[in-house]
Amino acid sequence: MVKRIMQLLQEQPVAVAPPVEQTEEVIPPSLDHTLDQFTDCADLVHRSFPKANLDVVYFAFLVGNDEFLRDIAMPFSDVTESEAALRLTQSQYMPVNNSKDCIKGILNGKAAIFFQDVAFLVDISHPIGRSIAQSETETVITGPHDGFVENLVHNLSVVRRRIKSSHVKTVTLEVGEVSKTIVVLVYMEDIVDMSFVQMLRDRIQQIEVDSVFETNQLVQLIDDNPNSLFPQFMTTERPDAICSKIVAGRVACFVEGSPSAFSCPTSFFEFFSSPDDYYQRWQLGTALRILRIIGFLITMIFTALYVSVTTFHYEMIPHTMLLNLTESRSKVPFPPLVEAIMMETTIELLREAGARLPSKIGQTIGIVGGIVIGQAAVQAGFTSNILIIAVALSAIASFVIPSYLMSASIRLIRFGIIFLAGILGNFGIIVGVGLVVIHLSGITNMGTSYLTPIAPISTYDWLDTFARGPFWSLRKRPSQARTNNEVKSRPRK
Amino acid sequence: MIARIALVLVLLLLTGCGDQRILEELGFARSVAYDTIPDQESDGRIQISATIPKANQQEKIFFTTIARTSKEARIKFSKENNRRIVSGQMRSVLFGIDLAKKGLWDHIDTLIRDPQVSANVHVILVEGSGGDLLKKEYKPYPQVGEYIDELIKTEARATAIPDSRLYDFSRDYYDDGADPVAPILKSTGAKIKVVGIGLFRDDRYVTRIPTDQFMFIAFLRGDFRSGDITMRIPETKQHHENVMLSSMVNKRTIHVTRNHPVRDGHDIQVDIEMEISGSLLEYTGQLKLQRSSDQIKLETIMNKYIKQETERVLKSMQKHRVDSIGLGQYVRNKLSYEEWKNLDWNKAFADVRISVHPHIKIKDYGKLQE
Repeated sequence: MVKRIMQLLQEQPVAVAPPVEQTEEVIPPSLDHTLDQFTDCADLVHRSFPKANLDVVYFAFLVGNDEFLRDIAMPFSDVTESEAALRLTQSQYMPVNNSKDCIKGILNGKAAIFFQDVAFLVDISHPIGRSIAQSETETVITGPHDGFVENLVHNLSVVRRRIKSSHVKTVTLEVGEVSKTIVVLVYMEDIVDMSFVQMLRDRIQQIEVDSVFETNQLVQLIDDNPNSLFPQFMTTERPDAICSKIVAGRVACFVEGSPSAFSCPTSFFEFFSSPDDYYQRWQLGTALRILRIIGFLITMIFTALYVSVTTFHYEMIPHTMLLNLTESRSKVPFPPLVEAIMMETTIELLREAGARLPSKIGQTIGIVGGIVIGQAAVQAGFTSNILIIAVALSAIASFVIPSYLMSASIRLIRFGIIFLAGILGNFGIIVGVGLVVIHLSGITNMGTSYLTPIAPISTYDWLDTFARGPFWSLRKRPSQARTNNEVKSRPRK
Repeated sequence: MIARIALVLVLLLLTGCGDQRILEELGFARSVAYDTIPDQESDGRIQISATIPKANQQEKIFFTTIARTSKEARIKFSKENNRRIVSGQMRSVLFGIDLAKKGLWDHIDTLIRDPQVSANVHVILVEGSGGDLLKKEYKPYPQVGEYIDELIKTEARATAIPDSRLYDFSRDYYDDGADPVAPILKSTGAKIKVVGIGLFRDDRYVTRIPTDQFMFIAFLRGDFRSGDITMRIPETKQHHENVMLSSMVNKRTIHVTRNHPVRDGHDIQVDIEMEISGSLLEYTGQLKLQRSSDQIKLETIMNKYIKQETERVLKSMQKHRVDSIGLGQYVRNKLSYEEWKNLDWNKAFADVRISVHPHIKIKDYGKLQE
């Protein structure tokens, strides 16, 4: 199966951008030249089969034992030169006539066979890496528990197994002058708008960088607004999420060595939906979507509201809470702005420490943080108890957003809004939110608006954006994908 | 781009920040009272008192001073206090009846003008001195500001007293077809009591009605969705029966008929229809309520009683020329602009023929089923 996918990938070398420096002379592959290129590579193996007059060069750590036995050791030991020549006509031995291709093949885990004056490549690579496991950053309660892994072949096989259609097409590209990382675009022919495929391919080919190791790194090299705070491509480790994007007419993209894939074009609101929404009853899915939007608003403005209300707008506080709040605040030596920034920083420190530490020590952080922030800070007159609630609530609310990247961006923006609230009060909050909205409406992704379906307005899409409509109502694919093949489902008869 | 960001930051950060009101540096005036000062040489000055609740919710700080306006008083209070006195958490404003007789608009106007003061602040009259009422301790009850606030709120919700907020007061004041009303409080030893409803002509206090008669004004003033009434209906010469109607819902409609042309109040006839439904929770009379014919009989008796009582209240209002139910608004709608302008409504109101048509419906007669 894996082999078949690899073959399929190779069958579609698609007009990989006509290499511009093709003019340089083509060096025919030779054993000496190859060994020369790999001088001082201790893990390079050179084996000779003197009876067959045949030399094999490969990297010991890239090839598998079984594969080596099957394609090199068994066929060529104890054979004569003529027999070897016959065997080399089999299809897995591919002749190469360019030294560069030969070297690249060796680096990709193939073995180069030098026989007479001809070089052949045979794929005996053996992928290593962890097996398919649950994604730790995006967990769901119901739904498939497999996640993408670092191995590209595994990832593509997962997709092929999910969408069994000959219309699933792949494009293989290469990024990184040094790392030569393989990047694969996957899309549904007939559903996708080919201009997106073309645009994505162009952008990826135009990248000039020494190395790319991660999907989230790649997307920052190809986005429309490199200075924006917001993640502009939806990256996910969940195969079901990516497959649904592919079927919806979006282009998915995999990077070798990265467990996440991205899809595009992306809208801001995609970061607020989780595959879970579709596996539950639609009323629950809708409630969850609304909850996440509330969570987003709380994260953005709740602490800022505390600051502005305690600094400027005491009228807004219900009087039953007012006296408690005043009493609690009266022990705090700092103005509300300083108090809030300090507590927010503490929470961020805790979060970052928790993320960096191994999970066994991470629990300690939780306990220490819980006690320090929950009780001691208030008793010591370091902060008021209502602020603790505000900070804790906005921290919790930020984790409701399924995409970690988006939640991190919003948490950072929050600091700016708190600052504005401390200077200008509620007016400052409105200014801050206004600036964020202005910025969001300026962002584009693959030339489409980031705020789709709000701007440009597409009310039909709202059913699957702010709510999760019942399946009978979700008849069309999202407008952002600009597909010609709009119909997604038909009513049950 | 950087220049643009810098510009936005400069515009934001170099402005503002002057008008900070940090919570723990403030004292929140909960209730403010305005009273006349007895001396003849008052020279336009009045006594202004305020209470500020302390954090333990039981004690209060009480201030009183003599000043020309409330703003002047606030500045004086601030000078006596380690905190800045602000009025954004004010819940009730009290006026002594003596002051109310001279007119309240000057004081109410400054309150409405101040954006910190909510339009939901209750306007309350005080029999005696408002300052004294605020000064006292009312032991089992919460501290005075909250006590007054809760008392007024719960009573107003049950339609036992009018919900006279700054908003209602100023609306009725500006409307030439309606006059404001406000509840009257009195401090009686250890508690505060609602002793009546004050009726205004424009901004001047004119007369009052006892609290138990307010329900009749409430029927006339408009729709409401909750209210109780106890009726003492004479059955025979010496025997009375008590009827208590609870959870009343009232729907009122007003019909105005007029002669052509309208010269004075005699040319106007007002019919007020009231559809009242409620649960009968108390009945001491002879009728058997299980019988629907008896229910209808009782309804008729009640109709008669309410018609008689409301018309009596109306008569008294007409005598004092106060239109506390806002009939003028409906009359105005029937007149041309010229006619209305030439009519002195306050005067004409006394002569208008008003008749009331209550339609009571007993929704149920309680859990007791015989």
